Amino acid sequence: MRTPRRLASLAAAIVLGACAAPARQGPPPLQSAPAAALADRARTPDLGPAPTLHVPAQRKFELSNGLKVRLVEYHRLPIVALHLVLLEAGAAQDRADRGGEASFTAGMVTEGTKTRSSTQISDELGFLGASLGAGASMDAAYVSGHTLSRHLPRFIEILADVTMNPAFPPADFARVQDQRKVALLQQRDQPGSVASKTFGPLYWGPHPYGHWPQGTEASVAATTREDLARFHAEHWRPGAAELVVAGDVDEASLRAMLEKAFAGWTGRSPARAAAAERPAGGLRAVLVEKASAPQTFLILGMPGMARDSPDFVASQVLFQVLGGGSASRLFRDLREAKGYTYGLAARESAQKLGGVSYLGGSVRADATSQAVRDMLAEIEALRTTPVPDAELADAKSSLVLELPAGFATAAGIAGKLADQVVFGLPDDWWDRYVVAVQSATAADVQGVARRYLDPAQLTTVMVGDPAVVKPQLADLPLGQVDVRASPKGAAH
Amino acid sequence: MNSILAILGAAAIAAGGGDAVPAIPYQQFKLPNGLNVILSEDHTAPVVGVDILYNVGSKDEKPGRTGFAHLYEHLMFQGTEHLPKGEADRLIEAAGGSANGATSTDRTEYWEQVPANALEQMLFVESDRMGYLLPTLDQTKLDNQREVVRNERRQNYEMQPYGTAWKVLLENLWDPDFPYHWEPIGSHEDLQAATLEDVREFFRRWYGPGNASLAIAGDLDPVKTRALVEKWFGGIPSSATPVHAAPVPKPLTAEKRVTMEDDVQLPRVYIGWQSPKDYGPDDAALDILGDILSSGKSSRLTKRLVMDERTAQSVMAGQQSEALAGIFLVMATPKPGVTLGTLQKAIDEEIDRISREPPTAEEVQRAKNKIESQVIFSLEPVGGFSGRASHLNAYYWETGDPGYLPKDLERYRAVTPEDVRSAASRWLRADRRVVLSVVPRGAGAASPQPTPPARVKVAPKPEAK
Repeated sequence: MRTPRRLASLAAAIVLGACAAPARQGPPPLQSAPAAALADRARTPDLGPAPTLHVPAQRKFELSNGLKVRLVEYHRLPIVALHLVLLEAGAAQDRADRGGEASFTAGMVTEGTKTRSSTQISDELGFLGASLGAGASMDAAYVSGHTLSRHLPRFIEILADVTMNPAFPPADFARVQDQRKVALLQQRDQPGSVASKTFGPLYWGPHPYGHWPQGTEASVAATTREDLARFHAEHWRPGAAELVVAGDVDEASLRAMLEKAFAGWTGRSPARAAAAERPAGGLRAVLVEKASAPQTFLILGMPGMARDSPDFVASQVLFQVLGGGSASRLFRDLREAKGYTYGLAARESAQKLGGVSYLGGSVRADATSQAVRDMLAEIEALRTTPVPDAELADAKSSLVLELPAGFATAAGIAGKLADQVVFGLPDDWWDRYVVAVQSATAADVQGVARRYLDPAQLTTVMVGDPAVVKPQLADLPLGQVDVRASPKGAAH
Repeated sequence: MNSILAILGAAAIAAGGGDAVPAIPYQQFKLPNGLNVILSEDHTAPVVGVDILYNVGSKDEKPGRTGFAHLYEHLMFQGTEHLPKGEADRLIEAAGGSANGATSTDRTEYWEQVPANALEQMLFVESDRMGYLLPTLDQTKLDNQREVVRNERRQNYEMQPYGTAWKVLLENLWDPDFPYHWEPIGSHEDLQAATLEDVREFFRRWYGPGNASLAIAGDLDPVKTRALVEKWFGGIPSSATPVHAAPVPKPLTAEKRVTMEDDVQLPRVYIGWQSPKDYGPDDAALDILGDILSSGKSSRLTKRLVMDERTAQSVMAGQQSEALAGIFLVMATPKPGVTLGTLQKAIDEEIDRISREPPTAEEVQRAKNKIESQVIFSLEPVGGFSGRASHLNAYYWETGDPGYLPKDLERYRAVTPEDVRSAASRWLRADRRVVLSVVPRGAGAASPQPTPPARVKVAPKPEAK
């Protein structure tokens, strides 16, 4: 594969080997088209007018229990995507000694309700050919999935049941608790997980974002089913939730199905406690040992912004230029010119309570220091020199013109709307976004580079082979590098 | 489909009552130079998917030059006579599009998904790659992409837990001469050995229009699009149609047991069998068997190992069938403290049971329903790795018929519980399989050598740990 969009996980690819595929017999072949002149390859054909984004109209209504709903009707295929956002049930709400409880709670809702066993839920969904899952990010929990529209009533009934009535059956709780502990154990071998788990506390300190959303093996072991039942009762409330629906259904039928399914769900969540501050500070750096690793996994993070920052849109342009894709500076320089990597990314992780500007990926072990130096040089260039007009124009076009594809599938629409819900963005957010991208100047981009790519406040995590990497660190401007042993421990 | 709706008791059915899978109309023609073209119109969103599938993959490589088809895929992004390196990427980005490529054992795919106004630019890009690439390839580009591919191998295989197990499994399932013996990513040694002359020869042999199919789906006008395809691809000279070797795999004659060490916390067992080729007899039945064994919480292996006995952290079963042959695989990771032998005994019992007694009608029906709804969900995107354009092209090369979908679904609808049982008994034999144990480094049976990656040894007996 050319670019690292998806991992070539062969075992995973096996699951759907033979079948998923479209098409059916069409009409006979086209009549011969008018004879076409051969191409003039000396000039690139004109693009012609770009399609404008028609953000589909959202219809908003509220159920009698206070649950807000937003619907986009999209009748292209007999599919409906649903995404229920629980606004006060994300991992940032985990108690300090119960890391992972938000995610664990979400993971348990499909493991048995007052009237359905774990296997019954799985079997019913399987028979419908539908999918339904639940989980938690830092800022919210969600229950989401998709179904053929002819099964929507039954699907909504299941979705509402798992949302409102999870029973946390003791045997299923014990099974899932062990699954989650063992999954955390297995993450010790995954360089990306090791790096992220190291980065969080190093960068955020006591801030709620500083812990791993799945918790630790110890915090999961300490969690009881009563903890989860309490978390669910407090945080999974219609007054702090919103349901996004996109696809082949009309408002009247949807409303009737939802009123019936969600009847009896009531309440609001308690106000969120104020979050601890992230300690300010300069350089922090850790190298985590991975013996004999042929590559070093790198994360370079700097203070970023919250999602509602007025600088958000300009930063999207900045990160598109720096590491947004195969036309970006990191790709062209560190991969296509120097061959240090299969791919490096740069992005703004802008969340509700704050954010991080990231650069990262895997680089050849013996090129670790040179790769870091080159990444820092790219940062410096963006801070000191305005992005040239043509490059800026390309990055801006990319951000605007990629939107129609994102709105072309029911799940894509639901995902974009769910973002608006989680971050409290205005209904016309995407229209505003287009205008804001188009009006961003080189000075704006340089300004956000100076504010949000500050190498004096760099937190660096490297996962690699100290025998190869340590000797390269001498002159790197990362501060004192703390070398840590690979995560080990008794496997039970 | 009707019978399934009846079973579900669902109310609505499409007018006409026949096929509930939405129609995806398409048109097909060939250019005089041999290029097959498929157009599928859908104006829901102002987006088009462009997909070119070359009928060449790692199965067309020679031993000693493994990884070559995939390395070649990377070189297709290194610029052409009329588009210097990086310019195609820039055009695609500026248009708001996305693009990628992938190489499998059988074929190599390139796609772009772009706003409809950028269609002609994409035809420029793809036709320049097909017709005008070779003169611009040089040693610098080859060296750079060789290094990128070796990084890809390090990142996605060597750095990942269990990341080299699949390679070992293939090496034991297939003879060294059979081209599924190696992975498309290839080996460092073979990648290092590739020369510019190898590259040129590979291009001339496999990358002509007669060995390619172009599918375009989405917001397009078929008449205008045909004219554009003729304009950009029509001038590319036709090429000799390459002959694919079609070797027949040598069946396993015994159980092979293999153990390898890796940087993993938990061991894992892979049980692999040779299975029929894609669309061959028993192919559909074995896909359904995979679902019955491990898809959903009441599937047989999940229910027993993960839900009830709780001896496994995860279990997965399924088939991957390709043009020359298939693989049926069961893969299970034990809980800490549980041996691979315990899992394997339970897996053997379940395989044995389904080889003797057919599954229930409900198990089979649930698997069919999942497969059918997956088809409808897969019809959503026009572009990308599994979008409409990609699927039309895949059916074209695999069956000769881009509109094969209804027939394909028919294969699955026709499978009976007895078909599943008899397929299991024929293909999943205990004396014709590979059992690969991946164990934590240092925990392997004989060889305690701690450092180098993925040490492999063939053991005569299962190790009961």
